[in-house]
Amino acid sequence: MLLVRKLKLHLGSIIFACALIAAGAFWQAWHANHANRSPTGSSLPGIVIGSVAAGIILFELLLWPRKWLRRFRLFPTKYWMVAHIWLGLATGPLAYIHSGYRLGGTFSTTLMVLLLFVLLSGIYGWVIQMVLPRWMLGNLPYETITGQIDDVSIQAALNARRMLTVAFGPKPEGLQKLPNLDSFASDMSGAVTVKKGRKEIKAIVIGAVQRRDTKGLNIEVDSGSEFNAEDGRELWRQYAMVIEPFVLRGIPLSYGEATSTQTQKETSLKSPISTRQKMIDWFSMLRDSCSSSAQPIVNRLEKLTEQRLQYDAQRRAQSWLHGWIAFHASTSVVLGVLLVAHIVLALKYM
Amino acid sequence: MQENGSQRAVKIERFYHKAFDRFIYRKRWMSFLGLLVGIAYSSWLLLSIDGALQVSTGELSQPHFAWNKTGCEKCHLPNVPIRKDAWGGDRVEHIRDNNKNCNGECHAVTGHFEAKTKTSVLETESCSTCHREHLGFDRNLVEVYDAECSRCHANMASVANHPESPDSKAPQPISNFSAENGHPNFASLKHDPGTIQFSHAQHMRPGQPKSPNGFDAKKLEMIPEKFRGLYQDQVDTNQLIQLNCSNCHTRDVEVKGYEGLELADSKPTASVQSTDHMLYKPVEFDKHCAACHDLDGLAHGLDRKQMNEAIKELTPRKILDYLKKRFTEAEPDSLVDGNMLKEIAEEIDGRKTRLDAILMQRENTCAKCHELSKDPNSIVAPSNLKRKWLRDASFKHGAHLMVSCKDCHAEAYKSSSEVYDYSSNTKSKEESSIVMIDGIAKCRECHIQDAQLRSQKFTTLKHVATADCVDCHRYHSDPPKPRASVGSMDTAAVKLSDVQLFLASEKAP
Repeated sequence: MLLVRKLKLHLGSIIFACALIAAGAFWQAWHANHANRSPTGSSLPGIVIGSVAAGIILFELLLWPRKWLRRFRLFPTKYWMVAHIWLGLATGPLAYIHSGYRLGGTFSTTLMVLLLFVLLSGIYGWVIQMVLPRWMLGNLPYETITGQIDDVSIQAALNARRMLTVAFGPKPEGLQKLPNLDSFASDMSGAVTVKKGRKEIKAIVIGAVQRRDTKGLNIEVDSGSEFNAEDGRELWRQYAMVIEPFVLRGIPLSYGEATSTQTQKETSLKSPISTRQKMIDWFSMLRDSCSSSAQPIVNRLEKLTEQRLQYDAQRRAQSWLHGWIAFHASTSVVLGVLLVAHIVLALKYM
Repeated sequence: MQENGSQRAVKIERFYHKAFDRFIYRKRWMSFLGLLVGIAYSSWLLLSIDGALQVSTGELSQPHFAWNKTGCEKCHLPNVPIRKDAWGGDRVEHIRDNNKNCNGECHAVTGHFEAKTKTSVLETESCSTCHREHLGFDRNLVEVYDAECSRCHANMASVANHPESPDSKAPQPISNFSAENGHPNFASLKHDPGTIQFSHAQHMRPGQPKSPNGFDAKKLEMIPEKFRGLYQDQVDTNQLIQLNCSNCHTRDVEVKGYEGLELADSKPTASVQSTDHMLYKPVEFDKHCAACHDLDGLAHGLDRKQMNEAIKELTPRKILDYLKKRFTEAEPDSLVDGNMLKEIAEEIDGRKTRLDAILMQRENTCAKCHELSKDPNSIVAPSNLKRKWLRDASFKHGAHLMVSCKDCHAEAYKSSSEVYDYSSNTKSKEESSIVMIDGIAKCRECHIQDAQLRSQKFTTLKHVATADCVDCHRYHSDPPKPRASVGSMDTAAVKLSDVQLFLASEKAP
């Protein structure tokens, strides 16, 4: 049903785009045959087809101003996007028919190459936006809002510290220093400052469930349970040395007197849990070195690390999902500007 | 202590979407950069000559190459389509403006068959339709596509002025050189207007006797001493002179390294072509005939008055010696008795200038080769020898050096091998009227218009060539009008300067 509904949504645009291409190709061929000349862009069909293609490109570029005006609800986005995709795809063949199936000079070749880049990047974006979100839904259960990954990681680190403190008491002296997260803790529970341009907006942090795994890092440790002090020292030690630096990597944090983000990054690069397989192996060893009573704690810490690994994967996926837009948009802008120059020059030197 | 739901929830900022997003940031900056690049490139295109070259679809050809650096306006009038097939380009005023741009300051060319073509057709023909530019430095602008020619020639009825006389034949449509009915046979090869009695067969026999193994065969010692050097390498075991093509037919321009191609038994293997060598020089009596055809002191090419003057200057004694020598040595069978000689001498002595009439009627003198003139001022009729057989085409022998003479002039060799007896003038006249150039069918053997067929034939044929209209024809040069008067151009002895002028006119685009 979903497929049928989607097909119905796209079908009109597909038919219209194909009809434009077929009509253009037929007219250009008929005219060339009638005039006994090879088809050109300056012939009547060439100019009309070129104008249609230029009009479509203008419509494609209107996607941007449309976003500024979306509050006016000019046209349903889904229809606009369908038209954007299929009419946009039609511009390639239409431009090629307009050119008389030739690349022409340097300038027209540049235009064609730019159009090709725009089309390819658009196709790539379209495909990746169909495939990747589905993959993320199935493979990244800890997925959160990408811009909030650092905050969520800090929150998770705070939770882990709390869990270890509840289970084993405060971090023993002599272990590696942990960054000061007190300010983050207060921000999370109170108000935050969001920078928007020059403005600073005080925003209230509200609760939001960010994961489908309801257990997740929930602390279910009974404070009355018996825990081995040795386990506690070992887990605190490993937490401070390996787990938290990995969970908080890339976040600028204060280590008191002598730490920096650089140190964090360096630490995380050398981390023995930087990949999933390494993590499994490492936690397996950690589990072996602890008594059975500490196993639930180890499991929670492993989940914490797993969450961070998924956030990294999510970040990479986001790059794939949105990285192309910058290229697509910039080449479209160049194409749009050069198209104006092309029209002026073509009319002058036709 | 059990954590409550609020604590379990990971808290996020409510206005997270207003926070910095590197993707949006990158998109905006790159788009801004794209805008700048687009504006900069467009400005360069619109404001500079080098930039305008970016619009050019290709380099200009050699004659117009300098304008690559001067901008497009030299040829492209602003907002006037230069291409006829462009929208609005077929308007007469646009075509006229564009043609005026070419044909005025720089070029001075005439229309094509102006008298025979409808004005409405000629005024819609633009230079750029046929001479396509921007196809590279080496593009030859004269190489017009066949389609441009057949555009009119395939449908002559619509472009040619209708002949006023009902007897006039309408121009034959031409569509494809290779097709059976796509191009008519060469009209100028149908008939030889020449009046010279000449037997190629006789001249290709050893010693050039009238009949095979005839007694009158020439030996080297029988020709004047001054000519012997020319033929000393061409004698057979019987000391008989064996002529070959190049003895009479010499190239207008020498092609070094390929001197012997005109020899009778040559089998050219050369693939060389010469763009300079077009035709063979006209046969000249003094160079090519005088060795055997001795006029005994009389110059060749005299008219009746000049001949009379020349004869008057001869003393009776000399005339008697001349006649005696001619009729006793050269033709012992046609001896004239002494009384007749005496009578002739008396007549000459009395300044009766009838001797020329007697002389010219003898087979061994003018009438041997020439038709006698009915004009009282001339001795012989105009020879009407053709310098250029293909009237409307520019044939280049230099482009055909890879084939032997026999390949296209088989008739000259055929009559020789069939060993006709040319003892009678009738036979000789018959042979003289034969045009010894093979027709269009022979050309079609190598010249194939269809590229695919040409490539197929290439595997079986030794020489394959294109059959484009411009291989033979030019647009802006109407065929020369046939000359009514008899002048030096219609005689055999055409001066070299005429040939050079003709060649120069042929080479002009």
